Amino acid sequence: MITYDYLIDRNIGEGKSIKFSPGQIPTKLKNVIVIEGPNSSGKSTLLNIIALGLLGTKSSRINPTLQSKMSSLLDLNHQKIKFSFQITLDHEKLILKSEKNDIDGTEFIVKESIDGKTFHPLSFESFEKKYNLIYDIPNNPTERLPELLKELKEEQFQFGNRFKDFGFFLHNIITEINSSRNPERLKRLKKKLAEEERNRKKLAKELPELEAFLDQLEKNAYAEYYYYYNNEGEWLTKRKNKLEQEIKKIKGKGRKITTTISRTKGKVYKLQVNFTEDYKKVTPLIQSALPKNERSRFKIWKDVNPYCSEINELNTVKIEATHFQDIFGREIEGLKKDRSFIDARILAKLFYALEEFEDSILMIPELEVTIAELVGILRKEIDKSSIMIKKYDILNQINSFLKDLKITIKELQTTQKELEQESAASENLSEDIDGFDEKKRQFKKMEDDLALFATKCNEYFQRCISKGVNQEKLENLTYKELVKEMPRSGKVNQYLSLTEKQVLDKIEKLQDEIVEKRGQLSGLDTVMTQRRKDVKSLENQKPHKFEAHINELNDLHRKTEAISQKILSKYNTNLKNLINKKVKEDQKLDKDESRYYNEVSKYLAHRIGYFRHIDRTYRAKVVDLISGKIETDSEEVIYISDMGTGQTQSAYILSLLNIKNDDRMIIALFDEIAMMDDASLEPIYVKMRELYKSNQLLLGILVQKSNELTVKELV
Amino acid sequence: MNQYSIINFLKSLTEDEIEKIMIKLISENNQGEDLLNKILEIMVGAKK
Repeated sequence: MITYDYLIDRNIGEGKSIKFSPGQIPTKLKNVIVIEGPNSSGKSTLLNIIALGLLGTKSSRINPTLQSKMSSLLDLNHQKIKFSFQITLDHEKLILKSEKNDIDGTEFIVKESIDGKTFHPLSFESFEKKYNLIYDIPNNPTERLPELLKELKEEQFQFGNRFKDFGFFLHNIITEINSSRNPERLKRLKKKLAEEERNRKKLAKELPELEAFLDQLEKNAYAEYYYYYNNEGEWLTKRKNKLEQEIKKIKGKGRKITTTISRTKGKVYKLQVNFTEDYKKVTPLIQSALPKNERSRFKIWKDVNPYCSEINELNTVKIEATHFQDIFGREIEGLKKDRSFIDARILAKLFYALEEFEDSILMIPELEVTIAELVGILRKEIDKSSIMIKKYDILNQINSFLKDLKITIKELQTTQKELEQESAASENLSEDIDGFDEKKRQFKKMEDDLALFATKCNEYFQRCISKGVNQEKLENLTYKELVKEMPRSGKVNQYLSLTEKQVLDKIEKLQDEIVEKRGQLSGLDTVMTQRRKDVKSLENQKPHKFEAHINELNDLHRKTEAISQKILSKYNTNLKNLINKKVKEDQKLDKDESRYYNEVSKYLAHRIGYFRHIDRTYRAKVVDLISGKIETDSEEVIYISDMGTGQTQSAYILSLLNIKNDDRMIIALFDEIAMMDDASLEPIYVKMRELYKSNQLLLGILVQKSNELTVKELV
Repeated sequence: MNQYSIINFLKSLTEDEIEKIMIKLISENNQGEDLLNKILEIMVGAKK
């Protein structure tokens, strides 16, 4: 029996509202009923209120459309509601009731009484443990068959978690056993401790030996390299100084030659100018004075380039000048022997002697002429022989020029030769200058090397000091003297035969090795201290009660972990893919997936059980959602898509109700089942009656549309 | 919980006897030490 009441105050805007309360449907109803009625007669509202009042909004199995309708009842912006209902069983004292008395609030309370008197509130979790609320609209049931799997998914998940919890429990027990007095573990620990002690002893012996060797190697190596770089530095300094002198010398020589060449070049230039000028002066004189038969020789003279001072040109001039000197010299000698020329010269001398007395009127005794008159007479006589005298003078002038020219040529040739020699010397110097650059490069390199040697020398000096080598000895003793004072094993000698870099690398490796060994030693000390504590603590402990079953526990733990992992991960994914229709008929599945999906098909067949198709009743053996087929007990195959909507609805509702060996009481509410005919409805009625009789159904309400309101009681 | 169905479903997915036993015992709400004792009893008994 269910009794109920409600009041809905629905906001229709502009401050107005409409109130709804039970009207046509009786407020007292049997436990298993079918309500038929027209639209807005309150059928769906009644189902919504019952599902809401039994915490349906918290159930993940109820589809979103119905969830939305239930939530809408508590939406204060839309409507306000208060309700109460109470469900009882005629043959039991069980009472389940739900009340929402505050119309302005959203809170309501579910209560249960098992003795018919005392009520206690139920949380969602405790409600779920005892009651199974099924609230559905079986519309488009073919599409919704996969939703049945949601239930399986939840159950599977719960199982997975239980295994997981048990896995944690087993892990803790195993940990407890391992930390309790476990003879095997104790034996293992002692063995481990003995091994660690051996390792420690070995390390403790090796480490000082290694340290001593490294110390010896470092001292000898650093001292050797210190002396090496010191000696190299000294030797290189000498080389550098010598090179510096050579560079200075080349620099001085260069300067001197440059000055000399410059001076000689100046002299050559000056002589060339003199040569050119003398040549140009004498040439017209020669041309005018030369006898006609010597014209061809003059042509040779004339072809000479007076601006050129090449040796051939100069030699030509010299030869021709000598030739002309000879010609003109013979002409001068001829004149000197000519009587008229001798007289003319005497008269000329007289004239020039008396010329200054040209104005004198002194009478020359015996001659009866004045000096002035005598000068006049002499001038007239000189004028008569003036051409001859002039020629004589010109010839003398030519020869004088030619003489000077020859002197100039000689001097020019000598100077040119000097210049050639100086140039040759300069060329030699250029070669030296080329070498000079190389020397400067070498000098720079030496300076760099010296700086490097100085750095290295200082570095090794400091390293020697830091290794405890006596500074005074290092500064004053020779390498041999110092080495005599330092211990040096054969192994160190072997190492020192390597290159400097190799030795330094070895030293670094040895240092790393020592650091690592020290770390190992320290780590071993820590581990051994803890190990000894563990051994002691283990020896003082009592054996664990499950100690004898440690092997079984380990085995169980492995299995449990594997199952929980399989269920929570692999099975869950498989089911998700099936629910989301991601598994296709032609898809290649592995062995485990195929097996899993086969079992799901069998599970679904269990859930659907008996169903009607066309005019017969069948029992499902396999419901394959991947291929969309149902295999029946009678070995027939029915395509789900071929089933009528009403029949599919019927099969779907039956699948929801076909729950075996579940102790929970069912509250089943189905809305809009109008697609089913009497033949399809009959198996549902049968199932509901069966569940009610076996005390598994607390309330069953089926609702469908009809023109007239009727309430059909099934029990 | 729909025990019948889920138990059969999960059991049919394993061939390991211990796993089948664990599924059955867990479905009967056994847990922790009780569950362990029951499994051990079966395991040790099977060995004997």
